[in-house]
Amino acid sequence: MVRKRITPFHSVIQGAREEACAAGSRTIEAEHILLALSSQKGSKAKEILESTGLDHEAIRDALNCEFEKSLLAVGIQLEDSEFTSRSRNPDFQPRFAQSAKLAVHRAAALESKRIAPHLEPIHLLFGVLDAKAGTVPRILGIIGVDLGELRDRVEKALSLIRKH
Amino acid sequence: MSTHVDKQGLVNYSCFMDEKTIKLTKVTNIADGLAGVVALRRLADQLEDTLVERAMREGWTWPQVAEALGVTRQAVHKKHAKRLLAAGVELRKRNG
Repeated sequence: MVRKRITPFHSVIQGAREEACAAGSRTIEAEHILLALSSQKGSKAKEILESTGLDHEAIRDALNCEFEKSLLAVGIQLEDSEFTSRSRNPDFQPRFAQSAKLAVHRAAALESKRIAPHLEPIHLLFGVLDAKAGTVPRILGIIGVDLGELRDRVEKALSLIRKH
Repeated sequence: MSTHVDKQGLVNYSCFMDEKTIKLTKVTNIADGLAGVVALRRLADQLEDTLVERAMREGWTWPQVAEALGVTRQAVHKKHAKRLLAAGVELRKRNG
């Protein structure tokens, strides 16, 4: 039997699925890809994220903060955001939401050979950071990340990959 | 006025009872308002999961829960049964 090689790209997608399940989400969103990227040991994407203060915990905290702030914007105040502990279906497979699909499409559009073996986690990071609206730009704003500088670093890393 | 949600995910309904309505804050910033819509959907999902589990633990049947939520019995069963079974909730099939 031929076993499919798990690429770092696939590993991030699997990580995003696990992040969505852990959060009790019915869908995989772009922020779950960002969380997975921040956990991808040894990757350039994780290195860049961490150098700008975006480790897994900081992203998770910002997501909770963004959820509460967004609810407040429409008049709902959460007394405790940790009320999400709920039972889980161990077989549940969250589906890809549009935000995650767009991130993957943007990542794939960077390379002429739009298949996973040619794509790295850094491509996905570009795809996630390129969102103009939605949860990811909002949490980056909450953390106070210089998005222009972060994108520059990602683009430099991408150009280095293309040279090799 | 804000609607408070405690850590068990239970909405404090006292504000509803006094004024018979929820006064949503006037949304001044569209981006914040749209993010609020996303957050409300997520909150609704979380509340549904929490309250369906409580209902089933307290002996409600699938048809009762389905009718309360305004969906079919099949829909509510498909969405919640595996999760509740995994959590060890004893599920009743019929009323009485």
